Amino acid sequence: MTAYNHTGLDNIDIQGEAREALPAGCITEEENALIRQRHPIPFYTPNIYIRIGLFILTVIIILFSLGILALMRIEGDDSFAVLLIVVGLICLGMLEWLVYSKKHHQSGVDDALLWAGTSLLAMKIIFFAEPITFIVQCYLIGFLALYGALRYIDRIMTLVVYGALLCIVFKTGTAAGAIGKAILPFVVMGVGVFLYLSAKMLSVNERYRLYRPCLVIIEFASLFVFYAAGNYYVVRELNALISDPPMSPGAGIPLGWLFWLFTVVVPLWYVYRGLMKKDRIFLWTGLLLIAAMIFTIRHYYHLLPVELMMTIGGILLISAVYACIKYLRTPRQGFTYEETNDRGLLENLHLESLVIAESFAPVTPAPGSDLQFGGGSGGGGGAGGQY
Amino acid sequence: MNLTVFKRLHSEGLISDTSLERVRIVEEKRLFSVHWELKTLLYLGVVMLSGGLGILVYKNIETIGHQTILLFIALVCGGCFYYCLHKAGDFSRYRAAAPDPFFDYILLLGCLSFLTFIGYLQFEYTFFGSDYRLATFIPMVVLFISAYYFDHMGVLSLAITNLAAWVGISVTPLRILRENDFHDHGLIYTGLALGVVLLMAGVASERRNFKKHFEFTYENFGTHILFISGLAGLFTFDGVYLGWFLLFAGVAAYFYREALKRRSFYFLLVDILYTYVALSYVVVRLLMKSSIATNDFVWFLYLGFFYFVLSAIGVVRLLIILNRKMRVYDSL
Repeated sequence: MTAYNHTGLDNIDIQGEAREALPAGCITEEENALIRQRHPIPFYTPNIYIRIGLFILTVIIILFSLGILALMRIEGDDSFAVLLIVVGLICLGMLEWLVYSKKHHQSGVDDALLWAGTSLLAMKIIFFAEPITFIVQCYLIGFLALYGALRYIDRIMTLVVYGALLCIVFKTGTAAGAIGKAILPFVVMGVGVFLYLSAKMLSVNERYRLYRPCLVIIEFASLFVFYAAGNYYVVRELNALISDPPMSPGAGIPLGWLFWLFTVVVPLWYVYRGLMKKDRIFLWTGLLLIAAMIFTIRHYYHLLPVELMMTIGGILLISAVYACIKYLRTPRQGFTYEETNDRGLLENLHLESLVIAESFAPVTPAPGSDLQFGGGSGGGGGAGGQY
Repeated sequence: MNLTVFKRLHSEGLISDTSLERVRIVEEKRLFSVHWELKTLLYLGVVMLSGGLGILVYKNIETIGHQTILLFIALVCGGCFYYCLHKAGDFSRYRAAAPDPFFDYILLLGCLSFLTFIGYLQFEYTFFGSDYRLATFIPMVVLFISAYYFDHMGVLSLAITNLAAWVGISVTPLRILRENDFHDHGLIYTGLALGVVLLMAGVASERRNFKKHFEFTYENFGTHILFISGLAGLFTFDGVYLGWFLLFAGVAAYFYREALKRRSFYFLLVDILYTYVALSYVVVRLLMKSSIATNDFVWFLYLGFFYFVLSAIGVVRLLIILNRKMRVYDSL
């Protein structure tokens, strides 16, 4: 189903594994060389920075080509919509040709052509939709993105398919009257669970190994969706949006206690499970969702002023991390504080120091004007740049 | 490592039995690293704590009093620097590893509270008089010394942004375009000079082998400041823009040579994109002038669009060729 050569994609994987095994001392230099020779990568995949450059330039080319064609159309009487379809299809055709004959794979050009082609077609569907309904739009965009995801193993396309699916479920649920609205959160949760389990099952199957990047994205998205479907804030506000007659502000929702329980317990369970099963997807999602949980609670109950919460939270976080690092000084229970994985790109760009410089930037006084140096809101960190 | 892959390689006769066994053992004993999770949480904690304290102080300034706050900040700062001096090994001109996981953060906290201290002093008591230069000069010196002595790349970035502030420019990635008024001609020349100085500092670090790993930070800041000042000059000095373009082209040629010499894809891309912007500006300007002169707008619009399509195709080809040329040395 993929446009790329299957053996080639496998070989990328194999060479990657060998590159990891070599410094770990598992395989010898000769074995690595032999593996690289027997499993060559046939693709044109330039360096990441070149890829970024090629992406930007390809987008420029497409936009200005569209501009030229639009200029020529000013004189004709065809609508812009036809132009979008034509250019979109040309992009997808070019993409097919480049992948087939020039062996482009993650070269920046193929990313740009795929995204531009599908976006142009999607723009036609969204902005020139006259006869078709919202739900049909969702189906069309969903299938378009499904094509991109399946044929080019694209993660963003996978997310678009997911989004379209959720829109369809939401729209169908709200159209199904009071009962449909009432069970909607549970239906969406069910979708999340179903997709998570399916993705998990498919990703252990060797047959679908090429789609693992997309399946991982589905796992992440499903965990988020499952939580969002039961999060008090999301349920309450969406309920207010679709309920008829309108809800009075401040009114609760049926089964409110259940959703509150869900809001608090699920992130903690994610983190717990992530640590128990050593599953990074659960761990990361859980850590992010703890923040979502705190924001949800704060939105309805002002327990403490924000600065006190930040101070106390900061102290708690720092002490907790301190304790963890001390505890893991020698690896325990299979956990370690040592870095084991490769940082690659991040390391090279020294991203951390840029982040520091950005978040703690000095104020540049305008020359000649009166001095406005310090102020109160800073205190050092994260103060929105206004010292 | 994926055992299935290695089993396959083994069955193909590409790796020996012992290698497969080693992979199996390593995989079995693999530890789950929580390094990045903990580091991110620690960073978050530091940001939350310092932000929370900042707001707390701001809201209670009448009851606490300025002296108390200043004293508190000074204590935090002094404590941090004491810890760092106590823990740090002897000064080394090479890369020095941090003595413990918290060292970097404590040094950062010390430097930031020092900045706050000076800023507070200046704002509340106009301690350094009405000349802001002294109030930015002192932190800059302290930051540079700390960066070198304790070997901290983040503090070096802070020092560079303070150096720029001292000469009057905002240089952090998000602010460089937003907060600088490039219509001020003096600022453009200052920017050019600052860029050159930073680049020279980078070259010197490398040549003298003195904190060689700082080179990238210097060059990164220097390159962007130089190019953006050059573009600003090109846009601002209307009468002599061709002269500025030639200057720009000269700088670009220098960077092109350097990037090839170092096999740096990053600097190559930065160089080519900035040059493309400058070239396109000149072309669009020429086209606009001609369209006004001949009063034929559509024709020149076509020309402009065609220029962009064709030139972008040209740059794509250039990038592909250069990539092939440097591919053997694939690194940054």
